[in-house]
Order: sequence, then structure tokens, then C-alpha cells
Amino acid sequence: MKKNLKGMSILIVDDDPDLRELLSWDFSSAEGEVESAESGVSAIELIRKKKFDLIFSDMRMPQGDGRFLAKEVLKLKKNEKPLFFLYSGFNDISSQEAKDLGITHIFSKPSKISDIIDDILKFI
Amino acid sequence: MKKAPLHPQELDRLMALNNLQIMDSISEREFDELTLIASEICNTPIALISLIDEKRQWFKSKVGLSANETPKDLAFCAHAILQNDIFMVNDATKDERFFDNPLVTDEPYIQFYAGAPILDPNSNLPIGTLCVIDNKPRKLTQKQLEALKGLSNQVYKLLELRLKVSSLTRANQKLLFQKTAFDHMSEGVVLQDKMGNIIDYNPAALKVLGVSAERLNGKTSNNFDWNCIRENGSIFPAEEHPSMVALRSGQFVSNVIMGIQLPSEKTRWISITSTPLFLDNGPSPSHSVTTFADISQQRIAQQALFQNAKMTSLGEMAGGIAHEINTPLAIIISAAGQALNALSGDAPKLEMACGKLNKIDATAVRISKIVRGLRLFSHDSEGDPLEETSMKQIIMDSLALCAEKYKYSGIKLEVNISDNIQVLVVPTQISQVILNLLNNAFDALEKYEEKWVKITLAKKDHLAQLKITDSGKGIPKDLQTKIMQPFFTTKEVGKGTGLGLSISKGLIESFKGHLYYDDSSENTCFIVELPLFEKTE
Repeated sequence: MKKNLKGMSILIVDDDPDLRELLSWDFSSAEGEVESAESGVSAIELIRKKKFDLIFSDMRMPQGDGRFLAKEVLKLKKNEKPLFFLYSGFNDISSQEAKDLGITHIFSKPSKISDIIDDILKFI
Repeated sequence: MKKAPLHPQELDRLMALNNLQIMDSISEREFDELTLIASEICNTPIALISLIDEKRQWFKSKVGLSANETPKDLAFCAHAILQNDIFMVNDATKDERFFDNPLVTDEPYIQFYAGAPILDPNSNLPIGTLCVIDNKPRKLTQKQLEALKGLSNQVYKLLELRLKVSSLTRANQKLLFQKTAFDHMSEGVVLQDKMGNIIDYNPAALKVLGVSAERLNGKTSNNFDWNCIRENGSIFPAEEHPSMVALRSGQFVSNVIMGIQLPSEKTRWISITSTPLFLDNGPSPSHSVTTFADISQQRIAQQALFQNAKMTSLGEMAGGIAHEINTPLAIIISAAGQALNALSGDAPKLEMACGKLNKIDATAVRISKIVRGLRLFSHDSEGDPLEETSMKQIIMDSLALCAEKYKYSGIKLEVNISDNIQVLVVPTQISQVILNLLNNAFDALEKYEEKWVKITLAKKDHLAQLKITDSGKGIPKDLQTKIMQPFFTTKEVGKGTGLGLSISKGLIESFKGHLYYDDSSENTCFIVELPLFEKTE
């Protein structure tokens, strides 16, 4: 198992600017190369330009939510598909739907970020 | 034989006779005594009280005759009723009108006839005669004629008495019926004189009020020995009691709600209606009649519905609220972790830790606003006192609860609120109204592409005017009156209780305000108006 996110390109998606900034900071601290987007729609623009290894996305956002983003990611070619993590405070998505959408794992919001990163490392 | 012509007012005469309800009635001693006296005085074998209808003469009383009636065409009395005075035929066999009349040529062989008209007490039209008959020619002395007239007048008096008795009996029956209804109705009824003294009441009055007769007797609305309160819990001033208002103003006062508080008892709620009476025909009321019903059970049911409707809309918001709180919590947890990191190790980064702590502080305030809105909305406001409150504060607290839901659905919220608008209300209830309107707007906008809601608050004369407009295209005319009715909903089954607007309207009106649909607006717009709270210096 990897000790950190070194060498991984990461996309953080959250509509709340404070949370987006804090998450970016934590993922950067774990040595990931972090970019961020404020909505599903703007995340897609970034995904089209660049291949990410990992996406960590909020569920409820005004412009394209987590489900919308997951569906778009599902359309990518197999070798371009990043790991997809959803951060959701509500039972918006059933485990079956998560599987169908190719979602790697759903993290319950709120959770300690260090725990989240530890868990993410298990999937890499 | 000559038939008697019809009486000039025959139709009225027949109606008068019919109204007496006397034809074919059983014999009555009082009438029989008069015919007996008539036959004695005039010394005739036959005396009759004969009443004449359309086809026959019928004998209410008779002496010396077996028939009960004869055809009108043959009746001597049909002639007699045509004149005011006594009609007399001394010898019928020699009278061209009667000589061939079967009553003359055959049984009872009438030769002498004298009849005094009997008048109907109501119309004074002749309905028959008191007559004496003999089978030989005769004459009557002046005294006998006067006696016969006097007796016919006695028949008149008897008829009059009979009418009075029957109308009294009817009135008595009606009174008995009314008294029974008065005693058995479930509403309390109290009669008061112009000073407000209680002069009568029914058993239900005691039952509804829950007091004994001793506590009501001799009282006025001013000196009841129990507490009267208004719906908001404040004292109900005695001079404001509906009966006192009705007596003072002469106006009908309806459906006033009052709470009755007796020691060691739950408050009873009654709905009172008072009507001024003008029994002495004067310009001001002489009495009042006040009715009241116990509505405690209705109120309990209503409150349950009310709380239920509130919880339904709370449920609709719950998803948004959970997220609304989860996000700031995630921020706090994240920032706390980073602050701890910054402070650990050999070289603590104080400035950075301080920045994170500030973030935590600001975010905690964000959560407390939501909790504040939730508390404002969800607590049972029954019995809450009126508070002088800033409308802006109520609106902002309410918005904290649904801002997330709106944001997530892509509804643009535009808020334009003036400061310093104070109202005297129960804040929870106003919050409920605002959220109800915002939830309705939310549901209505689902089907629209363009989604926005505008909230404006401004002073208008002596009112605080809150407008909630959404980008919907208005409500069809035929629905505009229905939407304020309880249980009316256009939402799909399971989504709306149909109580939101009707409860909201009731709440706003309880603060002497108005809630209405603005049909002059291009978009869907509801207006809430509340009286401004202005301190009188």
C-alpha cells in the first residue's frame, strides 16, 4: 500500500469554496497534485483537457451534481478512467447505483480528512 | 222555489268559514245550550246553528231535527245570511220563494222560519245563522227577536273564544317546543338585559362554561369569577365580551374565540356569537342573546393538523438541512485537523493555525444560524406570547432552512429587505408562513426552465409588506379562490397536505394582517401584510 498520494493527479469538486480550499490543502499535504472545480459542469471541462488519476467530488451541487459527474466519467475510455470518490452527507445514491455508475467508494460527510485519505490509499 | 243568490263576498265568506275549522266538528255543549235556549224563548220545536258552505248547510247544533245537513239550494238560512237583521218567514206555504221547497212540502214541513246571521269574528262576514223553525205559521214578539239576536251574538262570542283558545294552544305548543329546544340544545344560550345582567340561560350554558348555576345567577359579563383569555393568552377584558360589545354597539358580533379558565381545570375554548335585541323598539339594544359552543376538541384537532402540516413541510426541507449542516461540519473537521497539524512538531505555525481557527469560528456561526432557524420553525408555538420582532430577522432565519434546497435545485434567490421593520407577532408562526410560501414556490418551479424567487420587504403605509414572487406564470383565475381553502392542493398525492395556505392565511389574520394572491403580477406573487409595530412615545 502506498504511503501517500505522491505522483497522483487529483481533482477536487465542491461548490463550497471553504471546503474546496481545505480539501485541496489536505490532498496536497498528502503530496497529491491537486486541481479543483466548483461544479460537475466545470469539472468536466477539466477532465476533457487532462487525465486525472482520482476524482473526489461532493454530491449536491447546483451546476451538475455528483451523479451527473459520475455518468460523464463513466463515458471515458477505460485507460483514462480515474478512481471516483463521492463525498455525500445524505443517502442520495444506493450501493447498487454507485456500482452501476462506477463509483469507487462513497465517503460519508462529514468525516475526518486524514481518515478519508487513509481509506483512499487502500484503493490505489 | 227561488234559490238564494250568492253573498256579494262569497269567496271571502267561504274562506272565513274554512279558517274557523268548525265544519263537521263534534258537538259542543256551549253551542247546544244556545240552541236549547233559543227554542225555549221562541217556543219553537226546532232551533239550529246552521253554517253555510259552498254546497250545504251543516248544523253545528240542533234541537228538534234529525238531519245533520241539507243542500244549500233548499236552505232558508242561505237567504238569511244575505241581510244584517233577522230574516223571518211567517208562513212558508204562502211565500213564493219557499211554497214548493221540499223542506216545506215534506219533512220537517217548515212553515215558520226566523234566522239571525252569525258573523265570523275575523272578517265579520256572515257564515251561518242561529235560527228557529216551526211547522205552523207564527210570529215572534219584539223581545223574542231581540233575544234571538242576542243569542246569535253569543254564538259569535263563542266562535271568537274558540279561535283564541286554538291560537293560544298553538302558541303554547310552540313555546313548549322552543323551551324543549332551549333546554336540550348543545350550545349555551344566555339572555342579558341592557346592563348586561344575566336574566336567563339554558342548561347547556352551565355545561359549556363548566360552572354551577350559583356562579352564573345575578352576574353580568363584567363580574364573572373566572378568567377569560384570548387565543394568545392575554386577558380578555370584560368590556370586550361579545355581549357587552353587542349591547354597546347594537351590532351583531360573531364567532369570537374565548378561553375560560377555572381553577384546576384545563382551559375551555368557546366560540361566542352575540345578537343585540331591540325589544322596546328603542334606538339602543334592550337585551342581548348570546350563544356559545365548546370548541376545545376542535382546537385540539386543529392544532394536531397544524403541527402535522408543519412537520410535513419540515420533512420536505430535512434533506436540505442535513446537507446544509454537513458541509460546515466537514469544513470544521477539516480545518481543525489542519490547525492541529500546524501546531504540532518542532516549529508550530501559529499564524496558519490562527487562520484555521478563524475559519472554524465563522463556520460554527453558519451552523448556529441553521439551528436557530430550525428551532424557530419546529417548536410548538401554542400559547407563545406576541413579540416585537424584526421582520428581517424572521425572514433570514427562515431562509437559512431552505437556502440549500434552493441552491441545489438551481433556483436563484433574490432578497431585497429593508431594515427596521418591526412587527408584533409570534415569530415561529410567521416563519412557518414564509417557509410554506417558499416551499410552494419551490414545488411550482420544478417544471419551469427559468427558476428564480424574489423576496422583498418594504413599508407600505402602516403595514410591513412582504412579497414572495417566483418565476412561475401565475395561478389560473378559477383556482385563485380555491387555493386558500383547507385541503385544496394541486400537488401530487402525498406531497401536499392542502393545509399550507389556509393555515398560513389564518395565522396572518390572527395578527390582524392579510395574506393574498396578487393577481396584478405577471408572475406568481403572494403578499403578506402585517401591521407595523410602532412605539407610541
